Amino acid sequence: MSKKNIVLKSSNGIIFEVEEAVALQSETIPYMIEDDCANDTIPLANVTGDILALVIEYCKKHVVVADGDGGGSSSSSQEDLKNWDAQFMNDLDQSKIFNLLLAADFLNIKTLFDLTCQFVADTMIKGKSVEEVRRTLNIEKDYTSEEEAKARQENEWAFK
Amino acid sequence: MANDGATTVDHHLGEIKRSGDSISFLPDEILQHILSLIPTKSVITTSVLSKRWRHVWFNTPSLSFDSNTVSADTINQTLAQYTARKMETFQLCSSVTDNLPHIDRWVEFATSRNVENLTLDLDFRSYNIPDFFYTVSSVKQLSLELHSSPMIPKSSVSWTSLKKLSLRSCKLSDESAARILSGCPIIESLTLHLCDQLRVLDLSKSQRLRTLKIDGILGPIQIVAPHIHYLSLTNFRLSCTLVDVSSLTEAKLNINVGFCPFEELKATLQEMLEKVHNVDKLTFGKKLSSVYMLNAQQMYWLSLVVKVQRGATFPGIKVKDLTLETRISPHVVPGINRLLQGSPELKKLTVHVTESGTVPLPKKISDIVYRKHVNYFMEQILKKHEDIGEDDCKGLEELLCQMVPVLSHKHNVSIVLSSIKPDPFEPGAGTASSRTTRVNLRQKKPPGKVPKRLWTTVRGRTSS
Repeated sequence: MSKKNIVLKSSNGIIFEVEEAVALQSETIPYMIEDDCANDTIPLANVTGDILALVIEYCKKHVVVADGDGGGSSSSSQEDLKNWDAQFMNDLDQSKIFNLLLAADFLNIKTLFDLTCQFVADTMIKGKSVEEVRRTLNIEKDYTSEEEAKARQENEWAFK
Repeated sequence: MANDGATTVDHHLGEIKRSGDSISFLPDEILQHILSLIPTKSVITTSVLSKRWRHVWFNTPSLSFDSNTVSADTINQTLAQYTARKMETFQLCSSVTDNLPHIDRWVEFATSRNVENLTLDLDFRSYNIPDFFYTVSSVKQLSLELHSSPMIPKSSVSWTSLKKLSLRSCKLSDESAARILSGCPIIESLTLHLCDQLRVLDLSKSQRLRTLKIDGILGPIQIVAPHIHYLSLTNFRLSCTLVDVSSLTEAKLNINVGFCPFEELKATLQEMLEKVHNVDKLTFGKKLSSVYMLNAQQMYWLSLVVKVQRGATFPGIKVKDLTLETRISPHVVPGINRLLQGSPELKKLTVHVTESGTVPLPKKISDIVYRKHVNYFMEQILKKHEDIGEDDCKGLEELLCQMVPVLSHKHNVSIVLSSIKPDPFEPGAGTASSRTTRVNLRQKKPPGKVPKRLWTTVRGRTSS
């Protein structure tokens, strides 16, 4: 089986050459290949090089396991993969996480999109008070006190 | 200050000009997807984060009222603000009597938004499912827990999109079950929990059904399921007849044998083993060998012995991947050995240790075929593992000493031993995989870091 490579170009002109199987975890890329078959390089105008590098790191890790030799080690591989995912997310700062989310959405890589959304939900919002969420996410309160009180009143039960 | 990373969502740039707040730049759809992973009560509190967030939650594709104390007024008020036209998930858990008159309307609200994943946990005992509910065509996954309320469709059922159905504590007659199943043309997975009025479950017309899980059947039941590939039986008390499970490839048998007379148990188990003798992957859950039922456990293994000794008439089981959730004691070891002898095609054996052995027997292991492997294995456990006590190790040692020679005539059988914490409520729910790590005994040197948990693989050397 011959391995075909695909060349991806980030918005800031950085070139990545990856195996087809790695790139095809994106459901968007196949359409771009079809539309752009004369040219070997696929330009990704929405994704910067540092984010694309992360996307490729994720896809490479996940393609290896999907392809693995099976052979009874699947539960452990799944477990390893979960740990890897957790570590991968933990190593990123917030700005990278949200840009990664946009990239996963644009490239339509469902598992990466779900992983990132779940990480944001679990670590930045779930179980936190409004003040804690604001602090965690650097959200500036632009309500006046009256406006905020009104918003709280509308759904009082949720704040109890 | 402009934010370089947000160039793709220009339309939000005008509102938020600070650096640092990266999340508020995300499009509504993504924020709503994130919010759909959080309970509705918390989701609503995001409305006061900032003006940007004021109305984001209105369109979250899922709503869950998972506390059964939420009042009717609260739910009504929330639904009044909710604007999403397409609802992915609606989850309602309710036991407040005052809510009963509202339930049908709430369910109708969800179905009018073409809900795909619907979970209702209604603890009213006398709740009557409305007729319209039986013709909801958008639902792909339905989970109903009715706390002994009846489920009686009066006319035909039409759940044309339904793939996964889970019914818990529903009073369900054979006739109602048949009517429901005939209205689910593409159903792939069926779970029944404590639906104990069923006597005959005929799934022969459910051609796409692959997964059947039945938990807690108290009376005798006949199962006709020629198309299923996966079967899980948990907590049976009386005889269950597998009339037709001819497509089965994987089975998990987790049967409560405590209240069953020996002869009946033996007959049931033998019959069941015959029906599953073709599966590739077989798990005997720990209920079979529960700590409370030592006698029953011994009998169970005895019955296996009888089975295997018949030799000529019994073909053995063709299982390739066998999992045993068991305690380790001298009583189970002979049974395991005979089971292994009766499964000539075995490639992988997994033993989840659920209890420590009652009579740990230290034994010399010098004359064992794979002495080095066993030694190494024991060393790893004793040095690195803190979750199980020394007694467990002796039990494991005993098990391994006896098992390894049995496997010596087989090629490349991999053995995985792990410990799971016994869960008194949910048999088979131990999470071995989530707290275990592998050690491959073929490695010449121990890995640099061995986590303090146990997951050990012994790969039997080929005899050639």
